Amino acid sequence: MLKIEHLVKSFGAKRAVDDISFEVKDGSLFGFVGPNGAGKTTTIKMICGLLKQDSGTITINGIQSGGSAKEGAAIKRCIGYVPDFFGVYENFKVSEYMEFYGSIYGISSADMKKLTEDLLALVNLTGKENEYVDTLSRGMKQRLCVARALIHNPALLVMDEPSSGLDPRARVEMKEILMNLQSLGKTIIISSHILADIAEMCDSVGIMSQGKLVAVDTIQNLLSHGAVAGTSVMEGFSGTDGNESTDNLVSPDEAAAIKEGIAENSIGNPSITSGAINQDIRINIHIKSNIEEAVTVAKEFDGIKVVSVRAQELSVTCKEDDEYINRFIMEVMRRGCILYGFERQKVDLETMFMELTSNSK
Amino acid sequence: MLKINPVMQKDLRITSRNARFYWGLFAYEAILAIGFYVVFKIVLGINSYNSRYYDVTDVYRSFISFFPALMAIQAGIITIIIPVMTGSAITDEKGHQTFDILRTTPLSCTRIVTGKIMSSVIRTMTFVIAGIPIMAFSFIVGGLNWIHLPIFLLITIVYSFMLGSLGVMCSAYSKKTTGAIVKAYIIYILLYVLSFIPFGFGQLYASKLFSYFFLCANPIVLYVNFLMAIVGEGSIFAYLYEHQTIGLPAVMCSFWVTTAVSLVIMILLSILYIKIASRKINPLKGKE
Repeated sequence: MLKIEHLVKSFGAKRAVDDISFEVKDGSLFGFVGPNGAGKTTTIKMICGLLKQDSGTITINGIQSGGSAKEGAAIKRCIGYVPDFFGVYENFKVSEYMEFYGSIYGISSADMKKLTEDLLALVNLTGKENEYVDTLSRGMKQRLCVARALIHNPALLVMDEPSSGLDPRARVEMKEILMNLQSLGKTIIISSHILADIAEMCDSVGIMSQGKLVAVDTIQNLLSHGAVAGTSVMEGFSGTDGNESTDNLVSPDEAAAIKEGIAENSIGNPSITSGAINQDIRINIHIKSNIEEAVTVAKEFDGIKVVSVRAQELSVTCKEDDEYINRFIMEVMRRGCILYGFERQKVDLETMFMELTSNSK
Repeated sequence: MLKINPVMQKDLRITSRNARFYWGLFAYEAILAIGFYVVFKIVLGINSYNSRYYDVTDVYRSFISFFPALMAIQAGIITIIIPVMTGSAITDEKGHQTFDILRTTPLSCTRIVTGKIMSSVIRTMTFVIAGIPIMAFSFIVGGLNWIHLPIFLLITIVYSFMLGSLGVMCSAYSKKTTGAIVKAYIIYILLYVLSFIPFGFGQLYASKLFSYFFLCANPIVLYVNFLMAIVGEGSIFAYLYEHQTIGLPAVMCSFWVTTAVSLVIMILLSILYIKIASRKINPLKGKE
């Protein structure tokens, strides 16, 4: 349905989108997450034809953007766009609002009446036809915007922060609408900061940070891989001056050795989807000394994947098996590593997101 | 069947529900009526002063001046209000966050721009047509040709279209409505003033054709030309021809030819402004 290849967009000296590539299959619900300024909205705008890319290609339904005017119009008929801010025309009724956009897509007034009824029913706005748009609540406006985007029955629905500013009930309603639309065969791309919703709804996720796509895969694969091209080793100086910010760092030599060990252990390509073991918890081990040995032990255990290494902390992901975890910890201690504690946390999209975007400030 | 521009239809519908439109119409009629009254008093005053020297036919002839006076007042009002109407054409859409949605539809940028222009022209012509009953007083005394009213309406429509397209172009290039209005007024002034310059140089360098077309592009010249034709003084170009300040064939200086050339130039300028505005708002062509 949607294929993006080596997309680049700069605004002056700042590279807002830096060589990203991904695909969204027909009928899937793709989530786009990232911190503010990561490049999500810029990417969405390029997909919808609101911004021209500097380089790279965008192919929607087999048609490449940037072609002739006819191709451009054909692409626009495939897309329904829901922006992050619902724009309102004052003194305009809901039915007139729908009719206006219907007339743009060449739908006759006679057909619009029935279509409006059906679409308003789909988004739970039945009976609101004669109300003025600017008198609706924010949640209703957002749902009306979704109805408007569906007028021409687009194959691809692109939504920029559809749940932004909505109260919890409205968020749940929006989520139900999206799941409903997906079940009707629509391909949907949504960008959102609400990771719990993304994790629940989406088939696949793309995580952006500072213009780059740091991870893109199905939710299951992302969580099961754990470390995805972002295994971090905090370099710096070992703690000698009592400064907390430097105490937690490793020396450049130690970092090089650890990275070499991790490179054999981690997954460097953000698109790998095969061969994943089901790993769904993360363990942060606080090690006072000999962390290199702990990394070596992690390499020897098949079910363990290293996520990050700091001077006194090793984070790994593994399957939720108490006995297995116990054996791993015991082996780490047996090899001479002095531990002063460890904790376990469930690997979810939020922890993945925080880990992968930790360099963006 | 002619497809109505959806943007034009939407703008007219929204405007017609706004009380500001009706207050504007009231103000327009009030200004026209006051203008008519002032001209009436002036004409009566001149005639009563000169009553010893003129007979009654001269008095009736002087009443013919109502029509040009009202025409000039309307042209002045239109020149002021159209930038205000069209200055917000694109900036308001951006402000309401509806502009991006519009640009993701198959509606071309040219259709968006022409829809905005047409809605402003229709609103302006609503004002002008509503002023016809006041202008009709001029016809009571006779001396006016029936053709003058439709010519006036045609000139006003083309002039409004040119001003509207200029206003929308300025709106496309501005972030705020105020900025768009100021830009439009500046371009007007440049158009009115600079179009006389080649005429001045024409006298020195004998480039008469060049100055002729520049003069034709000036809306003030167009209206003065029409005004002179109404009061029976020929045309401004005929005057210049007689005084040998413009060395062109007589036929090119006739009222009909100069009016036609002026209208064509205004239409061409309008097309140019529309093209510039469409290109600016096209996200795949214009600069961000």
